[in-house]
Amino acid sequence: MAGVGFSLKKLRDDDSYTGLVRLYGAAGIISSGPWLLSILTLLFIGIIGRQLVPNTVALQRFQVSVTWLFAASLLWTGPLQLMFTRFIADRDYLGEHDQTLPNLHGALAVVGAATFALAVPFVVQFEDSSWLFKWLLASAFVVLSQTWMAIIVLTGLRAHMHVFGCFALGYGVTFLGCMLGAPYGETGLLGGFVAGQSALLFSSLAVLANKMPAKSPVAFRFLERRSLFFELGVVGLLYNLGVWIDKLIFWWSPGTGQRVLGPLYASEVYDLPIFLAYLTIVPGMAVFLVRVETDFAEAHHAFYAAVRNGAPLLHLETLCQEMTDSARRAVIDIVKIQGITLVVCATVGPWLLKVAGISELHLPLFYIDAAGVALQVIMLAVTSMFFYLDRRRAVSWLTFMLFASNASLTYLTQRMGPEFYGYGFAIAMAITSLAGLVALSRTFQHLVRDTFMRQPVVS
Amino acid sequence: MTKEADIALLLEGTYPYVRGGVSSWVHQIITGLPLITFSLIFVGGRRTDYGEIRYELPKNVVHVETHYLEDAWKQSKAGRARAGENQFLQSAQLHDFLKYSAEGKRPGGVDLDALGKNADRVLGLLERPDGLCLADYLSHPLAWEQIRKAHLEGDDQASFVDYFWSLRLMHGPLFQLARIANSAAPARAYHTISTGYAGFLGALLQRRRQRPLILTEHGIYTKERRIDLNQADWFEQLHAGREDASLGTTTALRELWIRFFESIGRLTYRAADPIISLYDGNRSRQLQDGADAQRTRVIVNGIDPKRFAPAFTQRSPQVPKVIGLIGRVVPIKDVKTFIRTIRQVISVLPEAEGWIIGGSDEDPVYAQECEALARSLGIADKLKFLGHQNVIEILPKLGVLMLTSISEAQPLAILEAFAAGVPCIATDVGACREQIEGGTAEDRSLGLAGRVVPFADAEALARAAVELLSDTETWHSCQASARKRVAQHYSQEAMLDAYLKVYQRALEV
Amino acid sequence: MQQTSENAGGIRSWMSALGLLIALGAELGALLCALRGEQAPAVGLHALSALGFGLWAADGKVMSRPGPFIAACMMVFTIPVLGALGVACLIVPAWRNQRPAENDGIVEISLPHAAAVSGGSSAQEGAQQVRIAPAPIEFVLRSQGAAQKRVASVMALRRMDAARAVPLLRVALGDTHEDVRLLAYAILERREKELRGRIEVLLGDLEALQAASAASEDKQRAAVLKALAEQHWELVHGGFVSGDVEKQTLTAAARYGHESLLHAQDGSLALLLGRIQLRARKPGSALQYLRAASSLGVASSVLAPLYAEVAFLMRKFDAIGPLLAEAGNAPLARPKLDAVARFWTTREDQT
Repeated sequence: MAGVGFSLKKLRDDDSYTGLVRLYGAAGIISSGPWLLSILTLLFIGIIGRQLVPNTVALQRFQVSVTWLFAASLLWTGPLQLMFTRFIADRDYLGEHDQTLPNLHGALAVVGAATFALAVPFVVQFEDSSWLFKWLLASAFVVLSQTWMAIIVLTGLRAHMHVFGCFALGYGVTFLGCMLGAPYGETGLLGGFVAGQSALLFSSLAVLANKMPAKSPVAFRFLERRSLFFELGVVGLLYNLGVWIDKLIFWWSPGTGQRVLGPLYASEVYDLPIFLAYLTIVPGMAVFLVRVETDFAEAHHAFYAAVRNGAPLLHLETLCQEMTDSARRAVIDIVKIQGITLVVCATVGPWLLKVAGISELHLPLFYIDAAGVALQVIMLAVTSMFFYLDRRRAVSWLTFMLFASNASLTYLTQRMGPEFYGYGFAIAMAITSLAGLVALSRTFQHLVRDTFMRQPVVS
Repeated sequence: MTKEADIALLLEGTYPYVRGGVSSWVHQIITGLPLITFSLIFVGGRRTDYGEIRYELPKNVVHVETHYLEDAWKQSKAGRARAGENQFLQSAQLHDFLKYSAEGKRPGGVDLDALGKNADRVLGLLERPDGLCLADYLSHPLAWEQIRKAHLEGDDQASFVDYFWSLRLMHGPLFQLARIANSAAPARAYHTISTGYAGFLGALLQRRRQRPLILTEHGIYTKERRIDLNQADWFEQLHAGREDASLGTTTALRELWIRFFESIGRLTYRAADPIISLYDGNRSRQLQDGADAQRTRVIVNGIDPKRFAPAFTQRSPQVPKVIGLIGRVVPIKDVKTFIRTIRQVISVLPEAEGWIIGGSDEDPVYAQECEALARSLGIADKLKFLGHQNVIEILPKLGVLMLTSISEAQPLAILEAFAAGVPCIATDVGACREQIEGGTAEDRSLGLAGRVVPFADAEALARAAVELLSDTETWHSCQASARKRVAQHYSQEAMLDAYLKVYQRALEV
Repeated sequence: MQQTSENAGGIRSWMSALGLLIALGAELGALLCALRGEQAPAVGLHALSALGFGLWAADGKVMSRPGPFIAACMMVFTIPVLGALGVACLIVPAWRNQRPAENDGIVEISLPHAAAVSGGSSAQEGAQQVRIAPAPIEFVLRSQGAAQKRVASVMALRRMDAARAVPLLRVALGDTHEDVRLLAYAILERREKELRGRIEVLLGDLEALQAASAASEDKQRAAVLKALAEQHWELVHGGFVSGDVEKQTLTAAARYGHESLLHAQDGSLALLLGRIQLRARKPGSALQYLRAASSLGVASSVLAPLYAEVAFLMRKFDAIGPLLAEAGNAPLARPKLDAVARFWTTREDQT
């Protein structure tokens, strides 16, 4: 007689398993790369510019413009950045390498159009600026937004020498351009800036076009419904908001912020220390890159590949333990190096400020900001690892916590008076990092179990 | 409100959706016992594998319900994991019970009876408020602990992902059967026609409703699942994803599935009384697999010789050089060997023909392969696929019936052929030898009703066919033995009588 | 058909030239307006220039693919001057020189991550200890020990080549334990099914090629015919057919192979045909094919044993010894041949 016969059909969705093997590392880079870059640029401009450009008013306007450009472009493209990263990672995993470049071009077109459309009503508010300045501002906004998209793909390429070359070219042109444009006031400076950023953008695109195969010049597949992960969009927005909200609060508060140009604000008391503090993040970022983006990424990949390839359970548990260990090492190393950096700051701080021509009154704020920034690196590492584990829910909560705590605590401490400036930021970072570490450790504890038990059954 | 039937038949992949030997037997029983009311509980695999009901249901069938195991996972979202440690502890004991009762040996201090009682309790509580449900199995941390432990105690070097998903595939239907047992129409007694999933359902129903369970086994379920396992394509494409999945993993998975079917078989044997088989060979197998000897008995299949009398009288005096295979075109019937046999027969007897009388729709891929094989062997014109035919009409035209199956129980086709005066050549599987050569000494004295050869041996089959078709004397002697044997030992009356007694005893309880 | 596409190409190049003209002209106009302080016209002309530029960049294929057009327009419009420069110098050349996705077949593989695994107990004794080599498996299959070991041995035969596995599978077919018999049966059936399946596919390909017969298809036909010859040979070599059917299959194999050889001179095919003819006991034809194989470059050490077999069938026993001596040293690959070779060569030495 015929039994029902069983067919070991695919009960599970292979993609959800194999998806975990995808190198999600780009998430870490993009959430940190552009932002870090922007901070450093601003710093650079601020400090060097001060020495070289005699027209301080123009320089200040330029600085504030560029700061806002960075903030706005990051906030505006943040959601799309993450969603696009995921899209690229998916293509890469599926072996559809020839989809990346066309979709990037498509993304650039979309971003360009949308950004410009957004910029126009904003830019007309600059009553006392020349229309060329307004136009350049809008262009800069577009160029920056597009640059972030290109950087995502470029870092995924891991063609480090080329990336370095592009950046060198870009910032070289920026520098030159600014020098040449300085006599023409903020318009000239902005012109130089736009030139440099465009050079960066186009040279990256050239590198990409050279290195990546493409079936068609432009594609818009990334806009398909099933390719979009809205959760990631929310995360992208919240993350960037969380990082910028303290600055925004200080800028817009009447006590601390001043209107500099058009609708743009700056905070004399807050800006400089925090941007200076971001300089101290470089060692931590280096450790992050090495420990998380390489060591942890490899352990992660080994684990999920083993799951898929039918490794026995003991083997899997060992690999999971190795992943946990590398995560722990990463966090510890970041803590160590940032700790050292903080100590160095404490010693070198006053001298640094004197060299930069900045008043020593900013020192206490600088210290607390440096601490907060160090914690931010830890938070970045934690977020990155959650991205690797594809725990989108956890990341959403973390970034929300970041935003909420930073906003509320900054507001609170601002109200409490100048002695408390900066504490809001630092404490928010502390809270979020701690919460993240706890959640991460719990995730690792049950990772093997959850990897299997959480897989949905597909009939 | 569904009327309570006397007997609920638990049918896995047979009657009334599939035509075949077992289905014919079920139909025989139902029509032969008109005073008993039956309800049919059918369990199938995938909806798309079954079409319409193929039999005209007799009047004493009062209820039909159909379930498909592919729906097992539709419930997975419903219900939350709410079981506690206790339920998982009991479930672990159930698994221990199954393990120890299989191995025959038990470590000191293990009370098999207590474990058995506990096992019954766990079965009774599946998908009940106090018991485990599918959601528990899929998401509870304790379920993970059990799976982990089982893997480490078993073959801990085999692929875990395949093990894990095999377990899920196994347990899903069991939970679904528990849900079916919760809602199945009432009956005074239950009769399952196999172990396996239907048997498990029977064990659940027996436990929950405290009504007797009767088991009749045609083929041995676990054996047929072994054959399925051997055929299964997934062997070659394990989830492990590696091209050459390790020998250890493949073997381990195969063993896992076999143990699973053996375990649920044992649960069925535990719950059923009586445990009926068709011939003594299968009865021994049942004892080996854990059936209680005192509950087992043999009731042979039977046919009504009067029905086949016209088939006998319509025969022409000469022996038609036609070799027929009556059976579905499915791998277990090994139609390919039949085709190879015909090829060999034709090279000796060019005028011979081979007829395949059975449906090709159950496994269309296999049917296509058979047709291609016939073409490549160059006998496409001598080999005819006749589809399903009326046996009374077709048997007079056959010279010899040939069954090339790799696994059989007690084929009805042989009995029907005997009644119609057609000798049989069969492979040495199941009860074929008993039917052709005789079982008891007295039966054997009736003579050979055909020939028995080893399976998958086209040459031996061809030799036997040539012998019978060329040597008229031998053919007639086989025919005589066949008719005598079926009249004396395989009477429908005796079978129906025996089952009536079994049912009456069950209904008294 | 070709004329219209040429016309279309002509139209395209006209359109792209037009686009370039518009772009340049409008941009100049925009610049003039800008210098004179007229903002709105400047912006409008700049937009027009962007459109023209887009037309040029998209190579005039605006109707079929709007994507490049939009992208180019956006970049040119939103970034004054530099946009056009960047797109023209860097992007458009890249679009024009698209490289298709490369598939070298060479993939970078990272070394597997070996974790230190604490030794766990293995319950599957039989399966783990089976080595995949014919002699031990045959021994196990013929023994009467635990059926489990025999089951595992049969499982191991799945991966072995047909010539060695099939005889062993037939041994297992007669095993006393039912599980072993059924497993062997299943594996045999699967192998034959695969072979015959491949043959069906190839026959289908052949039919398709017959239907569309062009001179350029010759190579493809030769390939399909060769594959058919190989598959039919596999049926015989793997012992799936016997008696009458074997003869038929050999004839079919020879026919396909010969036809293929006419289309494409292939040494390995000639060698195969030689083997086929030897199996069919036709030493004369075999010799012809082997000579053809030799002239097509097959090594003499490979051909030597086959020549020896021809000599044997032709009863020219003297020639066998020297031929087998030429066969060279490959004892592990051909143990049976080695024994035979030793027989024929050492006798020579002894005389």
